[in-house]
Amino acid sequence: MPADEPAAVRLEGPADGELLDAVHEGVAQLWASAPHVPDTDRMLFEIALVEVVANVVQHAVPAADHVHVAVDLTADDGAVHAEVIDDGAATPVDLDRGLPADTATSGRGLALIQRTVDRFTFERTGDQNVWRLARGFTPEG
Amino acid sequence: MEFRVEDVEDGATVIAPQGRLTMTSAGELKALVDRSVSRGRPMVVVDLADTTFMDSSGLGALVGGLRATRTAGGDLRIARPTAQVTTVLELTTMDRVLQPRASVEEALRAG
Repeated sequence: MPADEPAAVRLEGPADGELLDAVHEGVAQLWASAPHVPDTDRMLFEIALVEVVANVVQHAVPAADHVHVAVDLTADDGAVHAEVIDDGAATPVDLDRGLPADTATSGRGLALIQRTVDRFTFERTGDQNVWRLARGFTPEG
Repeated sequence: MEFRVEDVEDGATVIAPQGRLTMTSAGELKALVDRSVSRGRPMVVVDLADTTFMDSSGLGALVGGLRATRTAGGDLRIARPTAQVTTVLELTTMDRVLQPRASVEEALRAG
């Protein structure tokens, strides 16, 4: 059954490992209030979102004493969306990098995001880094 | 995040991550693989049956472990990945390099 109003979850906190754990819990909370989201879309969206937040945590350069992150998740009738905003220093993000060598121990995060969601944008707006993700639901059958 | 570590026959070690293998726990997995190598046991099977979620950092730890074990004359093999872990391996095409095995026994026997 489609939801009458979009289900929404908001998380906020310093850019650290605890935030990453909170994101997993926030996603579970979102699915609990949006039972119509298909399992495959849940899994793929969570993969992308966790990569975004891990990227923010790993590469956050504080403009002040710490980097503050706000994560907004919404699920409507046809798609699930995330907006991740941090107040850290400008981060260079190369969206055209593709996959690294097989022996590389890092550098697969952005490629994973691009392969799991339909829309993925990153922009520097004022003093903030803004990441937006969206995944439309896979038709059943 | 917990890891079960077990020494098995033929000098191999089985490491089983319990829960989410992400940025916050990937370093610990790599350290456990390194410790097995330094104990003279460079044949490692990572049993992923109870690994509910893996991100690119977790995958990076597996690749780092693969390099460390092979340098020491051993190997790192993976067994029983969950659907989420299989998806991450396939989307990054790393299932070519880290071929999932159906059981720990099969991973130990694999050439």
